[in-house]
Amino acid sequence: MPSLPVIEPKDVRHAKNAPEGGAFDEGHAAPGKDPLEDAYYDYLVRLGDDSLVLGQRLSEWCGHAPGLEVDLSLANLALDLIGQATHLLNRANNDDGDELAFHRDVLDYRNCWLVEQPNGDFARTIARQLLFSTYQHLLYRELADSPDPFLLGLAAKAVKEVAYHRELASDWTIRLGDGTEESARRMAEGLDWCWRFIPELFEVDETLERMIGLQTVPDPRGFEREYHAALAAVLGEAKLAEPADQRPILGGRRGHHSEHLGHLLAVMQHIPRTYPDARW
Amino acid sequence: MAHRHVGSVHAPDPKLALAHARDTYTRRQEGVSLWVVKSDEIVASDPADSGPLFEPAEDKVYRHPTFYDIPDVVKHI
Repeated sequence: MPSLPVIEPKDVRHAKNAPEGGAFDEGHAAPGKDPLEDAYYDYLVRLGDDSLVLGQRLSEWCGHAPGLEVDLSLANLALDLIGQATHLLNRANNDDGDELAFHRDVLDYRNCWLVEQPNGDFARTIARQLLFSTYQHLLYRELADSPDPFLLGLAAKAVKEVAYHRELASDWTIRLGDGTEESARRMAEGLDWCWRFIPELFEVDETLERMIGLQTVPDPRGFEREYHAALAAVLGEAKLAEPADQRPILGGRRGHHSEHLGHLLAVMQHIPRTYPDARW
Repeated sequence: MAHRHVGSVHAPDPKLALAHARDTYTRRQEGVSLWVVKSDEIVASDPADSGPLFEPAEDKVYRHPTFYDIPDVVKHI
């Protein structure tokens, strides 16, 4: 088994001087020089990382779900998401999405906090899915009108997948919320855990502003109200109260993550990092 | 559209039964339509009766249209 790479003082200096995030894997996540190119790269990687990390999380249920049918349905969601990530990261990195997926460290990941949250119990997984799939559905619906042919093509295909994810998560939320005393309590706890990660989904920073300015991608604030109305409708049917607003947690788009993401990446990346030349 | 039985699922209600059927049995493009029926609403033949029910058809090959030779004078068949 190869030993760990030696980290030289210059690597440490380089990492500390990096404008944001880490750079131990220098060269793996190298965007272009042009700010617009950078913004486009960042945008692809954000979408790709959201799908990749959530896909990896959902795949952790494989063999552990409450029933065979649920096991398959969560694995199906995971496969849809990893398929999206493959297209997005390939596009961002000259057809080598694997390099981005397996050879970036946690500080270079650009996913939102919501998707990296641990599965918890089934109800929390469903809460996370409801909050994310509703957002992703609205986003991809708009992206399916993008003048950018790649984003348009991706979104046109993915929007159907995501519509199903949203429907499934909504259905389960209603079943659990309007189910037994225990399922309602667990569903409420799951939503409460995930709620503080919503504002990040609608945060518009410099990168996103550039992309919105080009009119290639939607401004998420444009569907924020619709998002909250959709959640309220599901929670109403589930007979669940909307969680109180909490201090929002931001920063995933700049590489600031919870401690959970590192563990997820360790599991996901250890084989390709230990055996870089391994092939299926 | 022809539907045939492909399997069974466990589910708390009809809507999730349909979702589970989709997730369990159409992952490899096996179908374009699904029917889900509650198992206790199916009226089925008793396997013990299969003799009287199905065996009498065994020696009646003439019920297949291919049993018959079509005379040359008959066109358009």
